[in-house]
Amino acid sequence: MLLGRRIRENRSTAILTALVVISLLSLASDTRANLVADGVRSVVSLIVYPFRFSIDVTRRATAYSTGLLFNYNAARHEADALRSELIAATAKAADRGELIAENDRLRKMLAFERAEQHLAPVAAEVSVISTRLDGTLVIDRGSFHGIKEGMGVITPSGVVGIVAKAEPFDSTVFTLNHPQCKISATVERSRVAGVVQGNGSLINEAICNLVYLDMKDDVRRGDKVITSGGSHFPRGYPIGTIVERDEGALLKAASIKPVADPYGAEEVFVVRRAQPAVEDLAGPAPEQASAAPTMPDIRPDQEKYAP
Amino acid sequence: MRRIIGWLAVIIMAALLESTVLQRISIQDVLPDLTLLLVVYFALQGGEERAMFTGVLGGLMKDVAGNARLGHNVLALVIVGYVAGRLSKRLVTDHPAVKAGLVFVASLAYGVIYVCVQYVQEPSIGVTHQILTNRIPTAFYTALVTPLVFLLLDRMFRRDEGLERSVA
Repeated sequence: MLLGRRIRENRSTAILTALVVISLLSLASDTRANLVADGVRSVVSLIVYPFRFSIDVTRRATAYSTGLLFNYNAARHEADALRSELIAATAKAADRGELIAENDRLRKMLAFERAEQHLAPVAAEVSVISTRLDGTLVIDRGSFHGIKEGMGVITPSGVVGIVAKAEPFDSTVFTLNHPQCKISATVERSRVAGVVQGNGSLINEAICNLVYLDMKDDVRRGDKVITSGGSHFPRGYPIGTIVERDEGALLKAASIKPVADPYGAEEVFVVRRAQPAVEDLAGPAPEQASAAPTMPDIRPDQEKYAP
Repeated sequence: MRRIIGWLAVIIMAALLESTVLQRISIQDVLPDLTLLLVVYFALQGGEERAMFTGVLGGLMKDVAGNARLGHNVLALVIVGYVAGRLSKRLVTDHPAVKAGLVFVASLAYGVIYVCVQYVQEPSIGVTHQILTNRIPTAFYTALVTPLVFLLLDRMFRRDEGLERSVA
């Protein structure tokens, strides 16, 4: 009772004491005021959240609806820009696809070059510049690079044609489709000889014919036609397959579907020399000549200098 | 009830002003201490109890705003509020200069208590340096704005008192 009365009499001092003690305890516990701030922040954010949410939704809805009206032009420009970007990206992707295809082709060419060792010293890889519907190709090598008229043109698949005209830096090739392209050929199965000549047809898949066949020659549909060797091509190189026979009175012909599509070729080989050189076959000449004395040339001058 | 709400609002407003707008009128990082002004004002108007509760609320807000140890500002302001409340009964004049002087002394006392408590917790701080470079200028600055702030508070709370009296 007495204590209670004393406290009532000195109320402010009691409050001071209580507050000082509480403060000191709080200081002693080393509690940071952030604790209170975090608590207050949590409570406030909880209370405020519905209002913030509704304000946010309203703001977004307003921005969306006004954006439809006012930002239409900007959106259209952006769409145009994106469309341009898409076109550029598509072109890039197509370029990439083209590069992959080219890489594949070049790999095949390289593999062919390695496999056909005998061609290595005599064939040169060139690129096709353009293809014409009259049955000619233009390649990016010419007389300056050692290309001459009459050289054979091949791909890893088979024969493409013959060099018809060699300019200094490019050359024209008569493909198998060209009427002036004539290549001596053999039917692989029956060894029947003939000449492959272009027929100029752009409609049929059989773009050339095997001509000068005798009535008795054994030529069947499906027979493979190969080069018979000579000045243009090495022997036994594939030309195409017989798809149709044309019976005549004395001579007959056969339509050929070529193995290599001359209009689809992008890189080709030019056969510089169809037959291997003597040095290649026999090896290099011995350094020391025969020890026998040289015999005098006793021929008359007319015979000696005759053409 | 209305007075209590006004009182709470004024304390919260003072704490908010102190941590936001008032930074713009700081001179060499020295600000007038509005919370302390309120403690002294309510000590003069309502006695030590009201001053102490003002100190509790204002100190708590200052602790939170400055991320100080909880109770640091509360302790200093409560003691200052109690002493100022006791002194106010013996104050025989309403002259603004006397009130400003009281605010100056109270602010200095608050600063000294604050720095001492801080020193107990972190003995590495320079007590004298802090009092000389921060607490005395703060006390001076606070005393300088006292007439203006007291005038505003008088307008707010005297009118309320008059209204309450007329209602009664």
